[in-house]
Amino acid sequence: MAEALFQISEPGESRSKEACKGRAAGIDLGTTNSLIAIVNAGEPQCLPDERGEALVPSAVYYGADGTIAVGARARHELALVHPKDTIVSVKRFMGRGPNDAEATRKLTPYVFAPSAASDPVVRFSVAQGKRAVTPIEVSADILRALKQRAEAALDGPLDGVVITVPAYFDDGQRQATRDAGRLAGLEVLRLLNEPTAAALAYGLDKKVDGTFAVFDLGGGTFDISILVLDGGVFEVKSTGGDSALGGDDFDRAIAEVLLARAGEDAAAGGNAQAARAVLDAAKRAKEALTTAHETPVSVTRSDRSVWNGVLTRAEMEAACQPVLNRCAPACKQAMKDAHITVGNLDGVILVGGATRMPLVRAFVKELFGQEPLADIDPDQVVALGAAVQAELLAGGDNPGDIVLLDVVPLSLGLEMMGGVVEKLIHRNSTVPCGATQTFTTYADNQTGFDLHVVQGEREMAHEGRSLARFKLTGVPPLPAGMARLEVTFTVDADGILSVSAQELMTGQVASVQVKPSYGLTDEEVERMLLDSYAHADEDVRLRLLTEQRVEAERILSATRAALAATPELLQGDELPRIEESMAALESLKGGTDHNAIHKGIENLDLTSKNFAARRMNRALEQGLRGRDLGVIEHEIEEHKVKSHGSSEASH
Amino acid sequence: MICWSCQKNVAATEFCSACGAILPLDGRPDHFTLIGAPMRFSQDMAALERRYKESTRAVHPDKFARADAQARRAAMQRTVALNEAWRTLRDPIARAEYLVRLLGIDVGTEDGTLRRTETGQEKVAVDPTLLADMMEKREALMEAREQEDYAALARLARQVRASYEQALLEAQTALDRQAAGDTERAAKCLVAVRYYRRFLDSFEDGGHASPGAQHG
Repeated sequence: MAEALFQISEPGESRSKEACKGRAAGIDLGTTNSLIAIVNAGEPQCLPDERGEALVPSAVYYGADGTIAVGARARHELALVHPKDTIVSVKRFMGRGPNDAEATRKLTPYVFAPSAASDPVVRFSVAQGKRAVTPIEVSADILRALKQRAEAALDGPLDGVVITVPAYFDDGQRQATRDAGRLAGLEVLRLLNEPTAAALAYGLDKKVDGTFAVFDLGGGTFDISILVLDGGVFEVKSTGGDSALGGDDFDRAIAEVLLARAGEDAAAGGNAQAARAVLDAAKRAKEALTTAHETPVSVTRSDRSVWNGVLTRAEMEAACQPVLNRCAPACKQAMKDAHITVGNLDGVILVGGATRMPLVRAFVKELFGQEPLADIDPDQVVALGAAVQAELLAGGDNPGDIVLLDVVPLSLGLEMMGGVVEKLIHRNSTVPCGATQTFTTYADNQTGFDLHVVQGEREMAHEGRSLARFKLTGVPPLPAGMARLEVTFTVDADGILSVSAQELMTGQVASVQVKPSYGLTDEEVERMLLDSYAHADEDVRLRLLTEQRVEAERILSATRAALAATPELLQGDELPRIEESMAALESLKGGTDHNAIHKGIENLDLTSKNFAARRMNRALEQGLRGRDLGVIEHEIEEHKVKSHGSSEASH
Repeated sequence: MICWSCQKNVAATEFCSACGAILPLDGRPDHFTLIGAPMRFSQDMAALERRYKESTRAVHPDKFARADAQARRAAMQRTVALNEAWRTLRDPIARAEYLVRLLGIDVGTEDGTLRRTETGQEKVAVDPTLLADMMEKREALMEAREQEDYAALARLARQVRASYEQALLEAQTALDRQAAGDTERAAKCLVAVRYYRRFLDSFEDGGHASPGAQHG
């Protein structure tokens, strides 16, 4: 175990680039559909199924007999027959707690497993009530299906993936996505923001520099990002959006119109099957109206009678317009944050299936004052960009000069006295980024702090999104105000927060306990903690090794100096025994076992103990009488340190 | 420093001269040193941006996605520091305040500045004429709002914006000149800049931000 752990951190042990080549993939884990893409001969391409279909519907069916079906069959057949056991649009629930989910429950057919108010995660009751699954597990099942597809195509294991997330995803949603990847047995090299991925696909394609807006309206999320492409540096200037606004909302708005016209009460909920059916009817009508001007529609009422009618594009657009209008403020804010106006934009990139709607294209054209770009399939562009990034990260042979500079979508702050939020990391800061804050103890011998991290732009903690509560423990007991704790917050390139703390007086490292407010099951947290312990173990091991090496060097040079200075004080076979111990320690010092080095030091201490004692007596006798023994010991220590210092310098 | 990878004692640069491994930062270099810019207010912004991007390209975590934990940590630490440096230096006000802080005066506090002394820090109160002026302007703002006097509002915004730009220019001139007492002069102007800025922000927010709303 110890050996294995040390192997992990052995310098230069990283896997050869050659072995990973062509084995990294990009995954667009979408609300409605998911895709996986790889770079083949320098060109990114989505991997299709045997029927040539690249899109995998993000739907998972859980049968009572334990069967799990992912994709088209789950979406188009099983969802109709078993609406409660087939989870679609699971992305909306990622990183959400039961209370958040309340808002998205309307018109969803799912049964939620009962959960305590403190439960940080939603659970769907599936398999006819025999199983409760979290959104993370559902997403992991989708990822497993994509993994299988890629491994079949590559004829070998997948070595690492880049998974895309909406730029506006908060920390909890990102954590949940990364955990889903791990649960599916994937090495997640990076979480990449969807708009950045799209720009990467376009930027490499067009090889142009300039300022671009990426308008991404997916099934369940809306993102707007402003990016500057400058000689291979993709810099995100600002980002905004709504993680609960997307094509599904159009379906819902249309469904409400259909239900109203059929004389049904949308709010009543009805049965799950009927709800699913009317949403599907709405979706089909929306898609048909992309090209047609009217389409026949039918709704089965709760009394089983059927209503038949016609929906026109104008009626559909009237229902969708209020939903679409919700995109405008975020677009304006993003341009303001990037310090640009529509006149500075060199292009607007469309991403997401919903941008196929003529209504959406007209809206974008009016908002940005130009015809948007759509020459890469808006359903595939994100996965293609992710594949490019995966290839870059895995060390493929792509031009090595491309760097993505992404940003934090939401400010991170700490709740202070009185519930006010003090922002530590401001939104649109380039990641990775960090901030430090120093705290002082307010009571004598206080050994811990509780910190509450909040995400969002609001002034008060309760208005923002609670991210995590951190318990800092292990602060050395000192009088009030003496202990000064420096807490460092770091947001990594995936946009995920980590926290570390150090007491400044003693340099002692306080431990950080993470209690995320949303998204992770206890097992997940436990695993995360185990992971952090594993790292801590690795760090501690290296530190101990370094310390023992230094100590060994110190005692060796001190002994050498003593032998040279007072050889006459040696007795009997002391010299060969000391020399033997020194030789042993010398060879142990080159090894990596800190315990062995420590034993070697103790052994040398033991064999030279009497000799050292005689040297001490000699020193006392030589006219140092009357002085404090401590002072002399101190001087001898000093001497040792000096000799150590000189030996160090000679290396 | 001792390279974590080859254990050789090498210069504390970005990469180990012996084995090429990425090295962690040695201590906490100031933003100017880190990016490799002269420590002064006036900067060649294009060169500064170029240097930031070049350094980022070299040490970004994306380049080390598959490297071992120590290399990944060093890449992250260096990139975090570079991003912080660039964020501070690209913005004239942040750059000026940072430079003043390096020169011993902290402009960060609500009630004036802190000056580093041999024994610790001493507080320097805000110029009372500035406070009186701001109080007067706030009253004028409230009055103009109440009476929906848009001409007066526009006039007030223009006045404060002019004062703001004037104070910023003075701070910058003092910082570039670096004569005796210029750091103090710059700090005083930067305190005024903060007050004007807040006043202008409250204008843009429709006046919902009240003085002192920044801290609770």
